[in-house]
Amino acid sequence: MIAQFADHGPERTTPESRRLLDEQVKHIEEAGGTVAGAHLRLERPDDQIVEVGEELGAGLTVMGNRAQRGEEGAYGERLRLRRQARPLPRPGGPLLKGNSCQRPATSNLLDPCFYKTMRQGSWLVAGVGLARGAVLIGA
Amino acid sequence: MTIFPTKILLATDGSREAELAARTAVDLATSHDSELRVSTSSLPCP
Repeated sequence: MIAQFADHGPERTTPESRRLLDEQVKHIEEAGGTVAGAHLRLERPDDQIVEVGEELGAGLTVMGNRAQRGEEGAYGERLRLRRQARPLPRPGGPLLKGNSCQRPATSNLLDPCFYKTMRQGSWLVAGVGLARGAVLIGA
Repeated sequence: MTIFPTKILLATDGSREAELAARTAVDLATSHDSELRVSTSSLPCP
């Protein structure tokens, strides 16, 4: 049983969003992953990502990269700007934009290029995820 | 030495990109034995 957390009560969330969360948990488990908790918030996406990540003490946030489709206001950029505007809870290194890692990303996330990026600071948007449609944000 | 995060948050909206992000998160969490959490957002019901 996955713990689910809705901050303002499930009656205020939409059935679609609850279904989406359930489906995502199911997909992850089918892919061999284990989900420790699922969180549904009544906030703008960039707000909820920041808030949930901070509450959980998440060291890494993974999200889709809509910027690949050239959409303005992509979550990743908004999140990056929000994070920059906030005081860092701990000493932070430089924020690295994905393209700082020029080598083509592969399906192997254990790529040395990824680790090189990871070690450069406690904040990052890692280039390794771009070809897979993912953005990694370390905290 | 590499210190990998012990808690990973997957932020998803069900999009194609988010599905790819989910695979990435699962790969990372399983290969590093990290805790994986999932979150999404919803506009309140009127």
